[in-house]
Amino acid sequence: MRVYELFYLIEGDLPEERKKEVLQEVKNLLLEKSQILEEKEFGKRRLAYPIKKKIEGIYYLTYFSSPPDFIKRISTKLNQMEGVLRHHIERIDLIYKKYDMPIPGMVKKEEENVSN
Amino acid sequence: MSQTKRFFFRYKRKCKFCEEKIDYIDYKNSNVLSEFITERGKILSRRFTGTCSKHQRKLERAIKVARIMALLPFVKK
Repeated sequence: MRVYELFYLIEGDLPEERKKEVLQEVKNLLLEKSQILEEKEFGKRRLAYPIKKKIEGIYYLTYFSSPPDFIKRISTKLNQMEGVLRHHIERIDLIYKKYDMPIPGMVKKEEENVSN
Repeated sequence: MSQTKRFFFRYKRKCKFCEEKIDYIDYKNSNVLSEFITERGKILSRRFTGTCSKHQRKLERAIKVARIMALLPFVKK
């Protein structure tokens, strides 16, 4: 299992319910074969250029561990998904190890184990 | 003409990332990245910013990813 970071952008003017649906859809997709380590909202922002005539978007950041052959499927599915404007997946376990940075989500689990 | 050129490029010479000991340049941190692009959105050369070649390569990649994610503009009018 490798650790990846998924950074994705959804439309900013979606109604609250639809937004939740999209987020749930992304989560379900990831949970098919991978484990989610941490989820964060990166914030609502004005886009640097309009995408599909939308000026605003909300960014989300998810850390997950997954087998390498599953990544391509995630990418194609996200491309087809309505509401998701852009996404970027990057493998982070090697980079973070190289520069001695704690992998989000992994740290918490280790701490929990120690306290137990 | 050669004289003006010399004056033009000689005001900043230290790599920001080396001084602050930043190894991993994060594409999500658009505030830092925007220091290294022009008003029009082009990537500034090493001559202007003083970034070392190692970090310039990483910076370039980070800026390009940030552009695709609409954090930074490709062109700004």
